[in-house]
Amino acid sequence: MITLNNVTKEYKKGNVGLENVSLHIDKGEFVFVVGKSGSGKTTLMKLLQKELEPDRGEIIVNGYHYQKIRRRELPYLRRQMGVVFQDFRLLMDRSIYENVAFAQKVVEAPNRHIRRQVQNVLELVGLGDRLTAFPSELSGGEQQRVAIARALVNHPVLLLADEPTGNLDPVNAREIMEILQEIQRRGTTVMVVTHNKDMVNEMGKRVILLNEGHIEQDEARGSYGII
Amino acid sequence: MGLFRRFRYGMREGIRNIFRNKIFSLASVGTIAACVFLLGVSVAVILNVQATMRQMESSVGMSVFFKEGISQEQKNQIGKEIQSKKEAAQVKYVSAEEAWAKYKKEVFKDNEDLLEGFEGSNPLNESDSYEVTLKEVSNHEELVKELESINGVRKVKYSKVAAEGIAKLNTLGTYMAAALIIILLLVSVFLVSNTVSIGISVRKEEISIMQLIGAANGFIKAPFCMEGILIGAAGSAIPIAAIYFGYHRIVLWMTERFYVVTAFLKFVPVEEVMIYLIPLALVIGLLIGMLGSFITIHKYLKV
Repeated sequence: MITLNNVTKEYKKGNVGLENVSLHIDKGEFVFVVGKSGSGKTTLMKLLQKELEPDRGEIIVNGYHYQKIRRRELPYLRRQMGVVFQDFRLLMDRSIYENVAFAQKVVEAPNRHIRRQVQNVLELVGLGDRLTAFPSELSGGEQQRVAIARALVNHPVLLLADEPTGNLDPVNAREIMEILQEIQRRGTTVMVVTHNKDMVNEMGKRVILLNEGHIEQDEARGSYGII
Repeated sequence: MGLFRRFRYGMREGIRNIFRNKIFSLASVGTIAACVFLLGVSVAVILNVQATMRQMESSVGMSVFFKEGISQEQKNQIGKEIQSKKEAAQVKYVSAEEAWAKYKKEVFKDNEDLLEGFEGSNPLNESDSYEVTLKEVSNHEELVKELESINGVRKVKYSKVAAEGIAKLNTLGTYMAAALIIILLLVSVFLVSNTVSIGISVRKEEISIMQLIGAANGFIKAPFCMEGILIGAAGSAIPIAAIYFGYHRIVLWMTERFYVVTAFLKFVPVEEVMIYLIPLALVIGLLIGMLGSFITIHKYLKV
């Protein structure tokens, strides 16, 4: 699903984002990416979303060779992946239903499917009865679930979550992780960048530890380790 | 289907954008309207000046006189040669008798007693001529030279001052209008661009989410382009309507107040002005709107 071959990304002033990183993630895997601030986690996420271009090396996601993608093809790559952020990034002036339906509308999905799809995916995240509520009326955990629903509604093959529990209390964080696990069980590849040590240790998934732009540790049933 | 949906979506969101920042939208519509209005007034003035000129040109003629003692056959030959010039609209032979009769009528109109001594004789004998009317006045000097070089022609008389004055006035007016319109065009494009950038900054978050979700660029652009097009359309429709309804009044007003001047002028009907103005104004208005919005959203999405 995801392959990086010797990928290097440097920022101006010589700051290293990632240095010579190679990794492979299979279809349907659940992977945690952990590491201190500045270790390259965010760089990795941005490279996968093709918000940044690597200086060297190649990135292949779901058969898309990133170097070969032209600007006009980028939207179609992005439709392969759902993205979830720490700060949810919902549209505050629209209802829950509209926020999720928005994702379907902007990829110009057929109108007749939208209502049912949105209903289904909101039920999956446990908000099937809150369609008309606005984001400001929801708790942080609920808002994040809306964001996950929005990321899922277009059936991505890959879900990227950048600190999805960073703003949440442990109870809500656990619920979000359970939803992400359910999504993986249904066949989507899930990649979660996180600081949440307990969560990582508890779930026993594959853990990639980044440190100063290198992969320091990559274990199939890993833990957050010594950091 | 897809395109129609994108159009509908763009239209709805574009209208929402316009109402979301009314003041800037209004300013853009206003500038385009001012620009198109000036353009429209220029078109109307130019058309009327042209019509007047055409009328005057047909009276600004040349008279071609013959050398003494040439035969009627030669005169006919000269007439054919003048007729073959492309600038000549009408060539009319005026005999000495006709010339004298006309002269008498024009000059001695109320003083016929002064003519007593001339009875029975024609002082303009040998002054028969061709009267040539012109299609346009700008290249009259060349024509004069050409006509004077024809064998058997003694002299070509023409109203130099009138011809040159009209030609110059026309060019000057056109240049001035063109300069003003170009300046206003630039201002309008700038204002539309400004309006659209405000729309973009209000929807920054939405646009970035759209990009992440994988909205096609055309889809993201659609509302902003539509916004520009609508502003442009409104900006050209207003002055078209204003000129359509104002034209009659102005013509009427001018004829009443300045009837001395307007005696020389020929006004074209409003329909004739509209035939030129409507397509021109729509094209320019829409072009300004599209240009302003396309450039802005394109630049934003690229960065």
